[in-house]
Amino acid sequence: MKGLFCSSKASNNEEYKKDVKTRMKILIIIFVTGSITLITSLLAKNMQSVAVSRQMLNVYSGVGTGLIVGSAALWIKNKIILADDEKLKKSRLDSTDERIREIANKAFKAAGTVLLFALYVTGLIGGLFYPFLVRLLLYLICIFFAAYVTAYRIYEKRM
Amino acid sequence: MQTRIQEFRKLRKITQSELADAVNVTRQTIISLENGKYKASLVLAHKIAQFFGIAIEDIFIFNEEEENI
Repeated sequence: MKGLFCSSKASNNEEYKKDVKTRMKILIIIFVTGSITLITSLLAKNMQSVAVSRQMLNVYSGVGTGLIVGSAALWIKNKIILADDEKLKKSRLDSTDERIREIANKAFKAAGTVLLFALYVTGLIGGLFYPFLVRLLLYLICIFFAAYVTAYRIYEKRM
Repeated sequence: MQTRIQEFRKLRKITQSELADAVNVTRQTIISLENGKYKASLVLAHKIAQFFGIAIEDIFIFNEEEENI
């Protein structure tokens, strides 16, 4: 996931430090989002009047906990990287290396294709039992292609 | 694409790590370039050529047939 979420254009350690600090700020936002999700689901579990199923509340709790643990672990990792010049350099090379970025782009493209295929199959089979599922998946596919066309037009003008 | 990176590197007794450090890429990228598994971008090709003090076409061998030209 390095090339996908942690790409950087920094040409030296000082520039890369700024990128790592920005990344740490984003991780704090993710931590807060996870905490809000977890607290809300825990509060909802204790309220009789909330009409959300127990199973969904457990899912929300799990997602919240996952975000908290993941963001905290990555924040600590980035803090360690900032404190060690050798680790910082290695991390910078991993984030800026053009080959790694190309691999990430190709992997992302393959994952996108698989995702679209999986959505199609899920809609086709799942739609037999839950017709709403077909509509939902069609919306998601429409969002995907709309985002792609928009991004394509933007980058076409830039490049 | 074939390259003469390994040839020039050995000639000047430079390790893959040293070259990687000098052009800001990972050692694995240098290995892939030497094996012909990865094609360098124009910027990286320029950096490598500049590091050895030679022209790009002297180090990167452009195969017209391979590139369908």
